[in-house]
This record gives sequence, structure tokens and C-alpha cells, in this order.
Amino acid sequence: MIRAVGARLGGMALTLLLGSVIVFLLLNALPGDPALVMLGLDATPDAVVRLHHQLGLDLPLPLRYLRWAGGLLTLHLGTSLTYAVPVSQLLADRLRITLPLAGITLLLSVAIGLPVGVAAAARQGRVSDTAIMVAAQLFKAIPDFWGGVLLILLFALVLHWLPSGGFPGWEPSPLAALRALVLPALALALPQAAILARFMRSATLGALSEDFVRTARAKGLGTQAALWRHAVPNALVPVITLVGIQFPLLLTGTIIVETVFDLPGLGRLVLEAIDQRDLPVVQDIVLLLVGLVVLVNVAVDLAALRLDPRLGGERRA
Amino acid sequence: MRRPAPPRHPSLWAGTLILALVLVPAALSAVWTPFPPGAIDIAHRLLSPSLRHVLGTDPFGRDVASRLMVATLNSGLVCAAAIALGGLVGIPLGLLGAAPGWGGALVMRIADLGLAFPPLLTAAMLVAAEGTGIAAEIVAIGAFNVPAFMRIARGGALSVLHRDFIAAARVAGRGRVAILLEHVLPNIGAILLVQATLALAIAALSEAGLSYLGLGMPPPLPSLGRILADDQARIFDAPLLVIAPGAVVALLVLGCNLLGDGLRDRLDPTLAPVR
Repeated sequence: MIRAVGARLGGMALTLLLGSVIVFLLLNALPGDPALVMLGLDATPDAVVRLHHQLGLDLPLPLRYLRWAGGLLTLHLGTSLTYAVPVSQLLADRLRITLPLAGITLLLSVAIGLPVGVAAAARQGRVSDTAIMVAAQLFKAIPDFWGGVLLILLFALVLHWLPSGGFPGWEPSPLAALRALVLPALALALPQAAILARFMRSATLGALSEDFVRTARAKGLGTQAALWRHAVPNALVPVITLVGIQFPLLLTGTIIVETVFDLPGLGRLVLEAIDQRDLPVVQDIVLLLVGLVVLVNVAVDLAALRLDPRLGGERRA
Repeated sequence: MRRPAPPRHPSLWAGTLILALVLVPAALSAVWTPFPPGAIDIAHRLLSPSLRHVLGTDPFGRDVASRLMVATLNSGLVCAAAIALGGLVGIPLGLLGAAPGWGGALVMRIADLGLAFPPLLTAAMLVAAEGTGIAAEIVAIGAFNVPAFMRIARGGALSVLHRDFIAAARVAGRGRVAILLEHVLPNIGAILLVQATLALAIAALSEAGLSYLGLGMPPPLPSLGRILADDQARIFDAPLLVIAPGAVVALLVLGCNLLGDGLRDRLDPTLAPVR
């Protein structure tokens, strides 16, 4: 186990290193001058030189990479060009919306997807099973932003139950803030829950056909007990891996949904930064999100390993 | 190839039907649309659906159906190019990774790296550095597809390489590359086809999301996501403007998913009992 953890962490470090090089090269080595883009085409050569110096663009590329990567390692992020404040401060501000949104989404999708998947497996072949699977197939196909718009149409414009967008902030009333996150989280969670439900169903059916379930049944365990005590826990292992695979798209989904619901989160920040060519902000946020994806995948890998030690023998390839 | 018996693979047929429903009008738009998709006609703005304008007109008086047809073709072509890119890079890398030695570890590393860059992040960087463009969108979606093709090609190749006919080909003096091309690739073609179909569904979602955010193909090319974004404020007075483009994306995704599932069931009989 310790060796496995070490291997995963080593792999993670290597992936992060390569990832940071890719992010840096894409944003710094492609033809095109960010200073010229920021100042506009009629910029004086003098101003361009000054901005180059201010941005550190006059340094050789490897040195610029080392300065950036070194800064990240010591938690010194860049400075936003448009806001003139440290990127870390912007991030802390925006993450107060994005992290709760991602958390609620994950909770909702698991809370909906897993029970529905198990229920469908328990009713395999019946009409209700087919109905659940058809519904899951439909929900899986809904683009996040369209789902968001439809939810606004239903819950905000027709029923007037929930706000259609915007964020009141956490301070005045945490409850109002939570209410503002319900529809965005639901828009993200429903397709995810559908994917989880389909996967959970087939994983549960797979576990139900295993020898240990037959043994438990032969020893007199009831259908329900065999399902919940033996099949479901074993079905969870591949499902946890699936959550890891889905995570990158869930994370970028929050960026899309924040736009639909006009939430000032990380997504809005990165889109504004792209609009204003605020490259330090784009660079830091992209690497932060890449790091988050890598971290979650290692965590998922280790969780699966802990739940099912049989996986330790071979690397998932 | 044996002809499938329709009742056994309902999702195969449902998927084909749904895709035909969306893609035939899209393909038709290359040569004909009911109205010129960009023709502005302010006198006839925001019309309700009628026989003349099947889906009504938008705030500029443009025919919604014509624009959706062109947008579907644009989005579909971008997705197809992205999947082709993912396959063209991923499959050879995966086959290489099936060679004994450190190939497997290398494939794992590249796959981990590729999966850490969802299309939106790659697109964000490319657009920030270079501005929007079709190539940027194709690369962003395609790069994320490389790992899956790589893993599937490698896994498939590993399961084929120890078979007797491979040994026979080797004895007959065929070289490594020839064996991979002539014997391994045809044997993993089916699973790669299934992967490509399912990947198209995710690519369609990504493309719609990117163009919704303005990170996709640049205007004035109509794309499904941007049509929805442009008309989102009209949700009060003309909800159809917002519902229709999203519905086309959903049908595209649903069709690909059903077709992919159906193909997998049909091509891989070992999966049948767990359905």
C-alpha cells in the first residue's frame, strides 16, 4: 500500500510538472505578443518595451518559466494585469462561490445517481427499470447550460420558487446564498446523476452475479440484505473511479453554469481574464484547475485501492 | 457482415434514427436552406413558428430553422474533426504503448496528462493567447480525446498480440509495423468505432459549451451554443429561440450515445448478459 501511494504521488508530481510546462508554453511561446494585444495595435514602441519589462517578457523563456513555477511552489502567484491585485486574492474571492457549487453538485449527483442506479438494478428487466434507464439516457444528453436555462424557465419564471441568477453574497444571509446555488447545482448534477445511475446499475448487476453474493444467498441471506451488504459496497469501487473520470468535465461545467446563472465565481473570472488578455490570471487558474483534476484522480485511485486491495497488483492501464 | 435483427438492438436503431433526424437537415444546409441563414429582415423579427418559418425568426428576422441547420453542420464538422484528431494521435500512440518495455508506463503518463486538460481549459489558453478560431476549438476537444483512444488501442492490442495468428504472421516474416497495421488494427476496429461514437457525444457537449462561452468557432459562423447564448435574454418573450438550439444539441448527444451503446452491444456479445 505504501509503495502504491508513493507511486501515485510520484506520478502526480510528474504530471503536474509536465502540465505546468504545457500551460506555460501555450500561453507564452505561441507567436503573438500579449503586450501588443493588451495595448492595442496603435501602441507606441516605448510603451510596449515598458510593458514587456513590467511583465517580465524581456527575460528568456526558461527563466520566465522558473520564475513562475518557483512562485507557485512558494504560493506566490502572479499579479493580475487588469485588477492590479495578486491572483491569489482574486482566487480566494471567487472560490467562495465555485467550491460550494462544485461540492453541492457532487453531493446531489451522488445522492440522486446511486440510489436510482441500485433501484434499477434491483428491478432488472421490469418496466420500471427500463423507464429509469430511458430517463437516464435522456438526462445524460442535456447540455449543462441548456438544462440551466430550462430550470430558470420552470423554477424562476413559471413557479417563482428560486432566483433566476445572480449571487447575493454569503454575508447578509447564507440561506439566500444557498438558494442562489440550488438551480446551478441542479443543472450540473442531473446529467452527472444520470451517468452515475447507469454505471451504478451495471456495477450492481455485475456484483450481484459474483460468487460471494451467491454464497451469501445460499447461507440464507435475504435478497435485500445481499443487495445492500454485498453487492452495493462492491459496486462502489468502479463507481468511485467513474467520479474521478467525470470530475474534469464537472469542474469545467461549473464555469459554464456560472455564466448561465451570472454567478461571480472562478468561471466568470477566467472568462473575463481571457477577454482582457490577463494572461497571468489565465495561466494561474488553468494550472490550479489542472492540479485539482490531477489531485482528485490520485485521491480516487487511492480510495479505490483501499476499498479493493485486489487492484494493487496491477496498475490501471 | 451479418444483418442485425432489429428487435435485439433497439438503441442502435433509435440512435441511427435520431442522428438522421438531426444530421440530414444539417448536411442539406451545405447546398440548400429554406432562407439564407444570415439574411437580416427586421420587418419580420421574432415571428412565431409558421409554415413559412417552421421555427419562427430571431430578433434580427433571420429564419431560425435555417440557422440551426447550418449551425448543426458547423458543430458536427468540428466534433468530427476533433474525434479524428484524437484517434489519429491516440491510436498509434496506444499501439506503440503495447510494445513490451516501458511503453505501457509512458502511455499511462501521457493519458493522465491528457485527461487533466478538459477541452474548456485548453480552449481558454488557446483563445487567451491567440484569439478564437476553429483550429483552436478542434485542438481543445481533440486533445482531451487522445487518452481514451490511446488506452483502448493499447488494451485491445495487448489482448490480440498473444493470439496464434500474430505468432504465425511473425513466423512468416512480417515486420512489427506490418503486423500492427494488418492484424492488430482490424481486430480492434470495432471497439475503436464504439469509442469514436461515444466520444462524439461528449465532443458535441463540449463544442456547444465552448461556443456558448464564446471560446468556440468565431462569429459570424453560426454554432448551436452561441445561438443559444445570443438569444438567452429572449427566454421571456420567445422561449423557442432558447429551447430549439439546446434541443438540437441534446438530440445529437442522445443519438450518438444510443448508437454507441447499440454498436457495443452488437459488436461485443460478451457484454450482452449484463445489459
